Amino acid sequence: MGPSVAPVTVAGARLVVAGGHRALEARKQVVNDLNVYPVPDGDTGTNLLLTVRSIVDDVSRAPENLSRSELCDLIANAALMGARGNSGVILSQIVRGAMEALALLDDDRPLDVATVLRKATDTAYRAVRKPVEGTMLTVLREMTEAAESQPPGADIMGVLRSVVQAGWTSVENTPTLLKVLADAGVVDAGGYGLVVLAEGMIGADGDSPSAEAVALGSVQETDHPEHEPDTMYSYCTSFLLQGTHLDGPELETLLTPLGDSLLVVGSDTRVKVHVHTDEPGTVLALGLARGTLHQIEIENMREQTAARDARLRAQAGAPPVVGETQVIAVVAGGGVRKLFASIGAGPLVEGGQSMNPSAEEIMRAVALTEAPGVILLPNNKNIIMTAEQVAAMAGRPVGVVPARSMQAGLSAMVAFDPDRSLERNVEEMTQALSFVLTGEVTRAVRDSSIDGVEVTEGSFIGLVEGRVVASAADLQEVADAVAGELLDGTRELMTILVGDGESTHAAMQAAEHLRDRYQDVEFEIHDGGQPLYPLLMAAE
Amino acid sequence: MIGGIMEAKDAVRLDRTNTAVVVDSTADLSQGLAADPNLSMVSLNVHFGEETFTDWVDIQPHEFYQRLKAADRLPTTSQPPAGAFIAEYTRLRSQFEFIFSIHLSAKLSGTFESASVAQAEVDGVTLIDSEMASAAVGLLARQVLEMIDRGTTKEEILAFADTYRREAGRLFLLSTLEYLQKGGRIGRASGLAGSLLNIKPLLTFEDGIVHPYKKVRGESKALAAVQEYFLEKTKPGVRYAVAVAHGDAPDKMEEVIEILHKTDREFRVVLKAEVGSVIGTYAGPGAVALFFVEE
Repeated sequence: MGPSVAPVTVAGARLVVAGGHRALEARKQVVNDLNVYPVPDGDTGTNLLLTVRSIVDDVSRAPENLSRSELCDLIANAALMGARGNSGVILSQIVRGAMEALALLDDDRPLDVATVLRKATDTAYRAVRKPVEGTMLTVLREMTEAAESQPPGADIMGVLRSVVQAGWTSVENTPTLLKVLADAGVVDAGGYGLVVLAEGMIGADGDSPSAEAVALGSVQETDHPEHEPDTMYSYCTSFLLQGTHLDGPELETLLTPLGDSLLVVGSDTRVKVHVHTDEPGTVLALGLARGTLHQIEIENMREQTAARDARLRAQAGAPPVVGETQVIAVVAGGGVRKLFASIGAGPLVEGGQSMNPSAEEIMRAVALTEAPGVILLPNNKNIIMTAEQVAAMAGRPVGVVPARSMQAGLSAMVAFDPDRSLERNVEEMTQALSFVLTGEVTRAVRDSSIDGVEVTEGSFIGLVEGRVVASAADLQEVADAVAGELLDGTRELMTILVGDGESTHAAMQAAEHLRDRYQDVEFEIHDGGQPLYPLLMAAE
Repeated sequence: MIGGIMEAKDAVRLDRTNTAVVVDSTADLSQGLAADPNLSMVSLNVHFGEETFTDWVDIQPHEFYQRLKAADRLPTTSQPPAGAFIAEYTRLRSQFEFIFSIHLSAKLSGTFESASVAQAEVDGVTLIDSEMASAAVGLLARQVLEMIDRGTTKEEILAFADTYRREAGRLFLLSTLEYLQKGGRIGRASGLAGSLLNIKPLLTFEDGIVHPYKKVRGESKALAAVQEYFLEKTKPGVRYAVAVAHGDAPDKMEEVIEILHKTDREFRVVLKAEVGSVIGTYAGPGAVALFFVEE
């Protein structure tokens, strides 16, 4: 029995999403390995999986009695907030479009797969500034076309299977559309991941429920979700009510006027109650009148929020001056963090090893800013789309200065003035980016023949503006090649950030060596402490 | 008619026979002094530990910057006591009927306050708060002296001072913000300090305190920014009087003048000053300043 009636119930949604997640998790590494660039970040498999995981988490916590449109909203929002990396952002837009269409469909008609997919495709294409064929977008589009070509009244499961089949065909075809894929001898990672996900979703029935899925009627012991500070009520109150002939719906009706985030689930002998209220005493009394109370928890959320905010603020780093505009920068590395903080950026978002924070993580930083205007500095090409998504969802003025690396972001910060308007700052900072030429040295994570350079796994590779320009076993040699391209005689200032890890010493030596070699250039060498990249360079 | 008499008094012709200008030592006008009989200066003090020096009188910039480099604690400064102003005003009043006392921003120093107390005690003194410091004050004083030279009125002088405060160009580059910050004069530029990146801050005066103008990295970018500022604040076909000052950085000052000459603007450099000890205490070595006003 397939999901002929689409995820209109929360329980149904849990099964479908869990299936997709499981399938993607099993093949995460396969997807990651399809990535063409030999650089150690921007992993499609990881990003897609983490994005889907956000959906799994939110759906697992959802109250059972959500309406269809509420559930669709919840799923779309989970995807948008959980989006990581470019592929995650595109997936979140696909989900968003699909959910928008799904919410409008009739409850008692079989699922209109074609309409849902078409809306998903349109939304995804609109979200990408320059859509490229041979990527996830093409695969989704061809899956949609397959659905649209099915005869009306066809069996839903059959439609879904042919959609997935069309997906695989499309994925196989991607090397004919994108030369870089053909050169590397791989199919598109995002497209592949998308079909794996789809396959998992439709195969969800028949599998035993995963840990995230909850069978109808059983009591769920959830670990306490961290509260969003938007509730109007102060006390998070929850308990387990035990008794006989318990009437969950009646209790729910009585509790509804007392607060929000109400959850009443269970059977006639055990009911779990959770509510945000200003009258915890009244809520407990209602329970006491009907049975015995266990696992009682009452928390003052205001305190929780204030403490959490203080911790986050301390972690994130407040800027020295709060004026008209603040800059949220994504950083990795203790030294890089200090550099950005010292030059007026704050709050800061931790990018992690692979520089792929979720939209939600960036959104939380936005919530911490006091200035009327907020600028996002993604500092990695894989975070730009995520930042743009946050800017679109934030509900307040947020601008994005599209720095593609941390060292470029530093140059943009020099042009930042907290007393100036958001718009002027975006203008000036973006202009500052155009004067910087960036370079990097890292280790190749796979063999590759790229940008005309033969790369072997484990060797050092040098990149200039994202293009591979050199590969060798010796770090100095690669650093020299990068510097040679960056310092073309018109540049007077070179900034070098030295990273953390086993190559730190060699990297520091290479940097000093460059300083000696280029006497006419002013060098600034800092300990960035960034992971994975022994050298980050910027010339202006 | 009382109104008529008041107007008449304000419309009295002021010239070198009846008017003098007083500045404080932060005007960095040392060179003009001896030459001009209508100009006089009241000094602030600089303190290096237990030793006290009178700005521009018993300490000159060269010695100041040497001491600054050697000192293990930063020097401090103090305003002239009201008595010093009373003495100078009284002395001048024996020769001149009208005195204009022009000073650095009241928000940067208690000097203006001291002068105000003195002004209440002596007739015929008009105070002018330049809302700036260093050669900006010197340039203002110089232009006022030129007006007096040609013959002017109190009304005209006050109107000019007003225009100057609002419209004169004012830009300075420091080689470090450390002195400004430790001396408590960093004003709205505090966000520029503490940067681990090697930033060259360009600063200005606004509402009597220091404001950030721009941050740049690299010498040539700094000079380009100075030129950009000059072009933005001036118009072709109009003549400007320019004052430049430096603190232990005469070459930088010449570079600034050179970059102005590379534009199409008409101007003449009427004042090339050295930053004195009091301003030097807050600016630190390596400072360069540019001020200009329509002639």
